[in-house]
Amino acid sequence: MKRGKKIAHWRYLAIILAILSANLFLHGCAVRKASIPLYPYEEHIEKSPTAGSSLLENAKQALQADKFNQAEIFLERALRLEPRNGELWHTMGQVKFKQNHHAQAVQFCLKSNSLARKNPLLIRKNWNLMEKAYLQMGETEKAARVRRQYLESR
Amino acid sequence: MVNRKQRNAIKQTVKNRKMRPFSFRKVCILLLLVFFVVFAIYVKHLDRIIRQKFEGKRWSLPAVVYARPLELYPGLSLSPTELEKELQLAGYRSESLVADPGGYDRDGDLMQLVTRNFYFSEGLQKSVNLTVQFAGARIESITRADSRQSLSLARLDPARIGSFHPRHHEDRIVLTRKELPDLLINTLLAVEDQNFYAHFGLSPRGIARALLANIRAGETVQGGSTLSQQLVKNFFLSNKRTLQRKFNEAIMTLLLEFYYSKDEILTAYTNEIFLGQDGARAVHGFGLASQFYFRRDLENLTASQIALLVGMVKGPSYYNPLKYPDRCLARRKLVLDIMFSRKVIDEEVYQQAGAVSIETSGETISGFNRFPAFLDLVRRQLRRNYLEEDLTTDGLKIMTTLDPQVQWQVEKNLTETIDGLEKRTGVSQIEGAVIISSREGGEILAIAGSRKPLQSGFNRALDARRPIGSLIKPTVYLTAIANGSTLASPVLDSSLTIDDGKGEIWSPKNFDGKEHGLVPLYVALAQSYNQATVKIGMDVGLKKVLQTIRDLGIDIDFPAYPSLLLGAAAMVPLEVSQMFQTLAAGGFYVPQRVIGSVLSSDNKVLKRFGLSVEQRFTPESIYLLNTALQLGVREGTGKSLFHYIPPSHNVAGKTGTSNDFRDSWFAGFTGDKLAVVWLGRDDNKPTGLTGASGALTVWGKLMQSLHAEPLELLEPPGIEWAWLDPETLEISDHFHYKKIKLPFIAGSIPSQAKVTPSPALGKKQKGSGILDRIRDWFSLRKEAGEH
Repeated sequence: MKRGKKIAHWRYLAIILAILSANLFLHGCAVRKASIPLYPYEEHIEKSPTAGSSLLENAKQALQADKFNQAEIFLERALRLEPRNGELWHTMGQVKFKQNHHAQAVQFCLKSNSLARKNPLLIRKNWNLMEKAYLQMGETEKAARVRRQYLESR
Repeated sequence: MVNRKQRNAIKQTVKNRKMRPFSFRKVCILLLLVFFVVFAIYVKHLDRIIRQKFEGKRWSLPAVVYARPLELYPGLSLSPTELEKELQLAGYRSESLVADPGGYDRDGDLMQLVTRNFYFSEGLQKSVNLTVQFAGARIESITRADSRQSLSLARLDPARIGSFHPRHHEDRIVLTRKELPDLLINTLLAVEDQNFYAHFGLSPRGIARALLANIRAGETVQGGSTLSQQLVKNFFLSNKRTLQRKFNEAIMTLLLEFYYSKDEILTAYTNEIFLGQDGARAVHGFGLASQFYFRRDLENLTASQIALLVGMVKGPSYYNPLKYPDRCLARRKLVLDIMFSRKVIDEEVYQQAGAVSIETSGETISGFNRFPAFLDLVRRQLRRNYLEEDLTTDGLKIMTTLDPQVQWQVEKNLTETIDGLEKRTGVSQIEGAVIISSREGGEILAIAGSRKPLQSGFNRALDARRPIGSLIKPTVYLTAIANGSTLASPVLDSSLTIDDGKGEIWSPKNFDGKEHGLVPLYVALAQSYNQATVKIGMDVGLKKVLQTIRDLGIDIDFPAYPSLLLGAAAMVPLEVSQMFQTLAAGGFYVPQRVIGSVLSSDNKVLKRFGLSVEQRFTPESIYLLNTALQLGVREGTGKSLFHYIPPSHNVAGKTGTSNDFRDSWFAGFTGDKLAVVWLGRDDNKPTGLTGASGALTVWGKLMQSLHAEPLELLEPPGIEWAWLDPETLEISDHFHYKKIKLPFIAGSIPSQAKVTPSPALGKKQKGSGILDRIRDWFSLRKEAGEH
């Protein structure tokens, strides 16, 4: 019995090694086939998180000082540097809400949610703002729906 | 009663009185009176001309177009050479000791530069002295040279890339009196009009002196005109030497002096004066001349440079430093002598300035109207909000989204690749167009409207309306997915005959002429099967497909013919780009933009073209479609992209070929950019190129040179995964090397199959690729064992 189990383990190991080596071999073939042997992408460096976050900070300050247009400009700059930062899109939603562009506030929150990955706090912030925007637009049913989503997520 | 005799006598007296001639004195008075009335009317007429010009818009200022400002931050992928090229485009000077704005000094991987003041939408950004340290082809650090403070972000003032001129092509930078340096004013007055502040517009002493000098010389060697007279001549009158013009000049000068202060006149003069020619553009005013000849702001000019410019007033073409340096040097020496003799400069400055050789801006990259295809789109978009006259006269500042670094790469790759394709295929006259934009923001970064980037004629990116072939297919599949299909849905790829909507029978064929039978939906898209696509499109309904096209941002009413499903519909590359923008941005419609904002000549924001988004498709449908587009590149018609971009970049894209190889298209996106490429001939003859053998190669080389980021699709919450066997079309929860793991909209996986973990989850927690597969396999075996 014991011996049988041991053989089974070896078999697993052999299969893994075979798959790995086959994969490496195939990968090597693919690279050799390509006319350009080395890709220049190895040099790609992640952008500094501080560039976008310092602009976000400026935008938040402008928002607090009721300088909405200023905040919008800061956020657009930040989004050029970090276009997939959900927090930036959410803050843009806040700016749009303050500018009384409620429909756009909802849209920016939806965009933020689409990039929020599994950031429940950001998603809840978006639903909260969407509820407020829907209420401003008189769309109570939609407001209630996002409210439910908000409560369910807590 | 008066008798007849008396009446006759009275008549005679009146007659005699009438016939008596006027006295000479009275005639003179009358003539004088008439002269004065006519003169007064004439003066009033001249007066109106002067006041209209001076109190209204003095100059027609062209709208100036700027590129996007370059944002520098540690980690940015940018080489010192690329930065240097951008600085040169923005008119920066290369110099060894950088002190003034607009200068830079490169020492290997270290760059010292001083930015220039610039008014952005949010206000003035002041000049700053920066030290940029590079590590290879990226920025390592940025520090302020003055305080040694390390910066996380620094924005450069943008390059001026063009302007919209009125017909006569005058250009100038208008400066106020305060912005004119004292040295310039003192030199100008010393050379041109010593008594400017003392005379009343005309200078009899000056005229007498000039007359004497001219008589002595036997020719015109000296002018007696004051600055005010010169201004009147330049502003209102022609160059003809007639008595009437001289008369008008004198009257208008007196009027000008009567109404306006000396400083106002002086300022107008410095802005009006013609100082050279830059191709078709006339350089007016000291502000622009300083930029044109020295790439410096006027306030930063040295004594020798000011002497050179003031010397050019006498004859800008004759003393042109670029063409006639010797003449210009002699003239500059004369001006410096006057400056010294009239104590404008001291001896030390005089000696130093005299010793300097003729300085001009040296080698620069002229960005002036350098990108005609992009400027064309800017102009078209502006015309929606502004009249043509506003664009050529109001001095508007147009802040655009053009990224010169991307534009240069677009031009280079398009030209080189077409040259190569022509050599390889023997087909000539292939043309091309490229539009590239930011993936999320929809900002158009670069446009090529021709393989010859400087050609400003037919802009193919905006005007070449051609059948888009298979580029239409994503809209068909997106419609099907939104209406309940999955990527695994079986589709029959076999011959079919349908009514073409025009009363004829239509039997579409596949590109390879074969029929592929029952295939999963994603394979039909990845392999671009025509018959399967028509089947899917007809099943879901043409109306729905047309609505999808509209929702993607295309405002065209295509006729609802079945041939639409294979791309018979003609579109321009810009429209295709907008359509794919909505896919790239995750189903959010983002209007593509080339203009960020428009500022007035006094830097007030007139209009902003801000970012806006609108969700047009569910995140789940878009996720499925984009996954299929990735598979199309990985194992379908876009497979050859791997020659340029590694498979790990997971590019999503689609090839397109129109009938008889007339049009070759590729549209696709990476993690950060979307690009659409079209190749074809203007006479619509076949090129022999498919989407993959033509446009895709341009796209691949372009994205390779731009170091495009990998594409990672974010999985929305309502997605589940299962394994599909593409041959048997069986969906299961079991791994097999022939199977493929596909995403499904939650609830659409057939009940007999089990949901398997998302590969994204696996990637994050346990690794990816083959290891992920092995892990899944083991976990499934384990689960199976437990049951």
